[in-house]
Amino acid sequence: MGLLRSLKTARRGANKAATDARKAVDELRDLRLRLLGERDDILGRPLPLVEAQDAAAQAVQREADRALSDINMTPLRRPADGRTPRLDLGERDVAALAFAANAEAISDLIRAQVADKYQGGPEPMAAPDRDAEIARLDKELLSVELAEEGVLRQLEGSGFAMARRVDADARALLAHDDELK
Amino acid sequence: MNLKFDSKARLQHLGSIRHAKSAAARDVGDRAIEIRDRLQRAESRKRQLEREFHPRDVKDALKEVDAEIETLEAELTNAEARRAEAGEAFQAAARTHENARSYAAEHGLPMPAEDAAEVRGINWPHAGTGGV
Repeated sequence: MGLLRSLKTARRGANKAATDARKAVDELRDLRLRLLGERDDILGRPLPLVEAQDAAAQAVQREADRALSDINMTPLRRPADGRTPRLDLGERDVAALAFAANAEAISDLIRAQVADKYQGGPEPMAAPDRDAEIARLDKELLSVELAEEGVLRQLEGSGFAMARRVDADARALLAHDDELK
Repeated sequence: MNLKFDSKARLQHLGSIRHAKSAAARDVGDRAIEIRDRLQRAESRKRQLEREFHPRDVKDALKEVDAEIETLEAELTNAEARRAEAGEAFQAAARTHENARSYAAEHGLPMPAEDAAEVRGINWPHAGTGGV
């Protein structure tokens, strides 16, 4: 009778441990989803306004420079007949020159437009800060994956298997037991 | 983060889960087929009774076969649900195993001969299945 009772107690204990382990897996899976959400938020944050505006100004300047360099000035300096300087401008050249002449105003227009887009949007983040934050979250995500795999192996060891996630991190699946402690 | 791997043993373990799930899916699939066969036989028996006898003479036999059909239909619904579940569990185990194997292959980690062969496109015979 004593043996039977202690077996029953042991079984109850094992069942409770398995229930706790399953709960731990669920919590780890929730935590993983929260971290992934945080990661998506970071990736969705815009670069600082100044960086975006500078990039726009540089792009406008590049276009303006290109517009001027594309104009064929040779007939002005060395006309074909040797006497009459000529400047042949096509429609595209005229538009490009108009753009170049108004580059500053166009740049200001785009800067204002970009600034408008930042109103009420997510907080901007500089690229190096974003990279650092993503690296931190990825490290944390791997720790959570390793913890989950650890609990799953523990459950399997006690005869209470629980299915792994289909998208489980392969590094955790292949990790040595020492990494899960 | 430099991780220490135990890829060979872990792939072996994931592979054995995959094969166990495959066997379980096959078993419940066989069970569903068996129930469907029994159901078809019962329905055929009922049609025969209705065709060859006056309803008055086979009232009890028809009642019996109707009850059997009803039971088998319920069993079949249950078996089909279990088959779908087992199929999903097998697919999930197979994908997990394949993800781990792809990672190991990509990173040159040691793997069981069976996995190494399958990565190279060679089908490895599994005990009791006659194939992969």
